[in-house]
Amino acid sequence: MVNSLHGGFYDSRRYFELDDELAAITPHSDVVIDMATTEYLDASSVSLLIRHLGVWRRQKPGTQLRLINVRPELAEAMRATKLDTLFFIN
Amino acid sequence: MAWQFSSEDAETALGSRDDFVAALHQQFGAPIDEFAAKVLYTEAIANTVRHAPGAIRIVLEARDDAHWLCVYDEGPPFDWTPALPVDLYGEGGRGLFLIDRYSDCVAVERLATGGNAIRIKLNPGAHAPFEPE
Repeated sequence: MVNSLHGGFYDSRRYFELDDELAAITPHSDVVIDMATTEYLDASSVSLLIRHLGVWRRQKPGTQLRLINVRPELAEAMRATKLDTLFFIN
Repeated sequence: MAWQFSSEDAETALGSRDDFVAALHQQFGAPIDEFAAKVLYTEAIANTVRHAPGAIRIVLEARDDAHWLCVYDEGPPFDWTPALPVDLYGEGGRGLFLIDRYSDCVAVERLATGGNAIRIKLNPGAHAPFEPE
């Protein structure tokens, strides 16, 4: 199952919106999120994503997070901060 | 001074991100790396929101043939340490790291009147592709 976000530019003003979006995701074998419409996740949004990954792994141990269709510039920023060691970025 | 913004609530500055990018584009007079400009603006403001959520003043300056994003707050001193968290599951540090990554240089100054000035030298033309270590 592929999940999607509302998209756009996530900053601290949209923290609770993103929190609700991520809380609505139920982990199956993996969590897959289509990032095609997401321009940017700021540092607070990334922290939120990591926190939810912890929740998903408590719900279903071994859960892997896969972000797909990540825009090249966002993927580059994520790799710069070594997020590709925590989850898959495609 | 090419553009400025001030507010009593630092977080409201995030709503002027596109105005900042437009002003930088106009000042630079050539295509700019909009993504890098947005990252720098957003993470700089987010840092201020975290440590000094009150009044903020933001200035885009052209000085010494360079473009500077200057953020002034009225908060307590803070430690400018642009490093990733040791524990990558940790929550702090990524924003400052990205500012360091996408800018030419950063200067943080404690103001005599109280508060901080963060001056970020922009490289609006382009940033070098990230090369994994």
